[in-house]
Amino acid sequence: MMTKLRPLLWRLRALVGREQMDRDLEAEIASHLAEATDEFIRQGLAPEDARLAARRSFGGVAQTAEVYRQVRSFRWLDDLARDVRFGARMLRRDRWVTLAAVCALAIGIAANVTVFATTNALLLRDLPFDAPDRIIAVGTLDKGVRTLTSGVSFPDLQDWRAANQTVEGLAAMREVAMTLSDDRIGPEPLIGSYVSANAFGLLRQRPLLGRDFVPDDDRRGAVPVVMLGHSVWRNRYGSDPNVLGRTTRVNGVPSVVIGVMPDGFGFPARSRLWQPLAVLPETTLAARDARMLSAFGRLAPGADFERAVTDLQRTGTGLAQQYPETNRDVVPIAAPFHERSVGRRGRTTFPVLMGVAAIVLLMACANVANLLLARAAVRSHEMAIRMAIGAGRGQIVRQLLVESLLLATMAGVVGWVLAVAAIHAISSALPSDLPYWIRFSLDQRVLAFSVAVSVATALLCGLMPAVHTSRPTVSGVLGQTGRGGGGTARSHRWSSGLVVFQLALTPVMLTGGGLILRSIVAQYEMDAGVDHSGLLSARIDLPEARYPTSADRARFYQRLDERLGRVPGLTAALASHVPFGGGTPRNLWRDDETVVAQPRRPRVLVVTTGPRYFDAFRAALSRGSQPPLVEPASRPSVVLNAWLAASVFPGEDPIGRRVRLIPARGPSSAPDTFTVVGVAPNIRQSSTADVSGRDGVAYVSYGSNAVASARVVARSALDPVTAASLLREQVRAVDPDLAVSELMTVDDLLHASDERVGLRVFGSMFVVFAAVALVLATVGLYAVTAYSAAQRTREVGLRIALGARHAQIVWLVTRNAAVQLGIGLSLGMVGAIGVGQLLKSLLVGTNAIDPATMVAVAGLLAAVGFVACLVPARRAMRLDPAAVFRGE
Amino acid sequence: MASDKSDVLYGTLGLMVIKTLEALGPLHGYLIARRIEQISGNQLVLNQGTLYPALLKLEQLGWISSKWGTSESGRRVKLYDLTRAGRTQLHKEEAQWQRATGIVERFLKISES
Repeated sequence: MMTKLRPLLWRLRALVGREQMDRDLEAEIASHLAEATDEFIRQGLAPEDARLAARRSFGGVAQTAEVYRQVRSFRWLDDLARDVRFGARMLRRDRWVTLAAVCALAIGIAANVTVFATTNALLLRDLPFDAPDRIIAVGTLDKGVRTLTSGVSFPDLQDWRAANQTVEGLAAMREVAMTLSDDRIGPEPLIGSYVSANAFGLLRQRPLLGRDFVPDDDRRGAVPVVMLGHSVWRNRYGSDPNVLGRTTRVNGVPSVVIGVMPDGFGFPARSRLWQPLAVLPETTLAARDARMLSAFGRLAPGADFERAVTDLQRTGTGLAQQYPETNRDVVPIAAPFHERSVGRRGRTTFPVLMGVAAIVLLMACANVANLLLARAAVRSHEMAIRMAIGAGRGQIVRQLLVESLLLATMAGVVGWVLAVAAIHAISSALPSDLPYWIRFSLDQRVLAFSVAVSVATALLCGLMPAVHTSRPTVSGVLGQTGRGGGGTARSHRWSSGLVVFQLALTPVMLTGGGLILRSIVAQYEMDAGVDHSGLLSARIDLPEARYPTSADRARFYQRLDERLGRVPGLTAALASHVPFGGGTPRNLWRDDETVVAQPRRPRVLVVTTGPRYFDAFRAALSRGSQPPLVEPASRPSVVLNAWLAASVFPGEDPIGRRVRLIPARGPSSAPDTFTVVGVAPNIRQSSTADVSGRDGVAYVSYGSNAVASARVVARSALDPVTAASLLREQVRAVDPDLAVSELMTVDDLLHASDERVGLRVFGSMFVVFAAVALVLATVGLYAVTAYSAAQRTREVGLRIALGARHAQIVWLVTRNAAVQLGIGLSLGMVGAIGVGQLLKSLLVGTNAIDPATMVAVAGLLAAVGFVACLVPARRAMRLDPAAVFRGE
Repeated sequence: MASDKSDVLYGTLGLMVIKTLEALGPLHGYLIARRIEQISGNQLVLNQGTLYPALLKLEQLGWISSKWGTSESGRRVKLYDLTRAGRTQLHKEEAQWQRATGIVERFLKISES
């Protein structure tokens, strides 16, 4: 080991002290020769002869020094240093070429780093707890009516815990809207979670202050306790360590603060408060078919994922036999925790963005490769001379690759800076309440990716020109006359190929960008069917602990509604969802139909509304009237929108008919037969549907569907601040511990919705990339046309001198460009159809094959192609033949 | 050049250098070269320059050490000396070499008989 290591250390030292060692060797050889000369003189030679004899017996001094250096150091490193120095000199000499290449590559690299960093933040990064790959998420699959994934019920979880040996422990949680209040500071809406006492233990996450939950906290009847998030502790309690032991009210329930979690912790997603599960009312936890909890576990030491799943499913089978009524079709399922769903759109968006960024980089590489090819033609003389004096092909390729590596390194640095700015812009455009594990920091993974991309870039744009340049034979190029040797036919083919490649990718990018742009516009222009501008909206969440039953909640809504109806200057109404805000999906059946499994029914969005809802939108029912806020739960009524009424009861009078609204997972015990009492105007609830698509909406009352969350929508002639405080007052008058959240205009609410934010942010990335692609392709086409025109100056001059007409000259110069544009466009249009299919799930109100977009893209490209050819063509036309020949 | 003089056998120069240093103590490059030539009875053609890469290699391996000193004629020269590791290595290589030459010798005897 030591004998291998020592020479290496020596060589490394030699890298540093290179000059000193050279001087030492020189001195040593000099004294050697002097000693030898002395001896030869002693033997009787004349001093001059003695000196020559000493030289002779020594051998070649230069060779010795060379061999000595090889032994001393790494030869390849010396060579590399020389290549780098030379390459840097070449890049400095052609500084405009260098600048252009660095700009193009920097944009390409920045695009890739930005997308990768975003993907890394949202999808790839490890979750911030100990050994995250050992944590599994557990849920259930209902094989019944439809295969539907769902949560876990508390009784099931306890049975799994008892029977399971492959997980260290199972914990349940439920993340909900909570309200924190105490005697000194008013109610504050916060996201919080009810968790099992062992949850933080399984995550190996200790509180920053105070103690973790203990099993006693999670026992029914225990004193309610609460764990604070760091931001709550800081903002609400001024980081006061004496907060421990103090009593606050969480959802109105007095709770003792037992601890503070560390900064940045928000498990499972965005919680700021945690309470034991036992705080939830008995009714939420007792039913075996109330599968409303999420669950996770940590694999026991030695157990693997597959065994854990088998183990769970064995337990599930046992429970299905024991409790057929509730568990017959329920299968436990598990997945590594990091595979939490990012939604259908997320799963499409990121691979598409990665692909798009890769295309931008490829196009930049094609441009730079073309640039290097053109320069290689100029440098073929230099290369020929190098080969003639004995440089191997490998050495020349290496020299050229070092140059492109230098280019890519500079571009990588510039690209990194651009990416940092872009990522900053993206993270500030995204909502601030993202799940806590999402952090847009540039970690080692992003850094490694950037380095890899830069190296790949160097190879992509450098390898082909390098191999190509090193090919011509010595005599061939040296024998040629004329300026710079000129490009060979082969290099023209290569650069034409690269231009066609770029031109073919551009329509793909532009079509994609165009479709996304149209979607963004369509989403904003989509007509809800009613006027929702100027409407104010506020959200209230009724805590389960204090409003455990439907009757409790209905009573609250009735009292609030009465107050809202009496506020002067305000038309305010309760509603579970605003227009474009979705609804609860149900399958609708007429009562004269038989409900069957696997229904293929029109999906209906159910919206729970209170009186004056349509008044607030300045709309009116076309038939019948709205049901009262609270009505007997046994005989509920419903208002259908016009589309739904017409499609369910074509040609019939819907009033007085009965319909069933059944959850997708099958009929439940709740009453689901409703009497139609009115027909409402068409107001759109779903925001992603096709523009022409019809949206079935059913409006029910709070009496039949007393959901725990409600919005107040209000139209007012008062100024928004006064109106907002009026709304807040009404809620506080009914329940002083209830916080009002999301108090904003309906327009702002929609603007901040996940769908619109996602489309805006990621859609605009796509559009920016498409624009960059267009610029790159234009520059590429221009550069190649201009370059080949410049190469043919002599020919053009000759033709003009011989009397060629302008049109002939223009055609001569732009013929290739036209052919390239033609081929590129035809290939690209095929790709454009493909990209539409790929983006289908992201599009809103736009068809995947959109003739208008495609025509626009083709027209744009043709126009841009024309401009790219215009300059070289004009230059050729104005060529003065005499000047050309004098210049030779 | 006489045909009975031979080039230094590949890989043996290092052995000759450390053996010389063991026998004579610290020497500078020229003296090492001269001693090797003299000991071989001027039978070896030593391109004296080739000695220096060999010395560097030995020094890298840690078998010899070098420091600047003065020659008998008062010149500033680099003096090479054997290290402990070099001495161990010399004994190892001597034994190996003798074993190898012994084997070759026996083979040569076979072909003679």
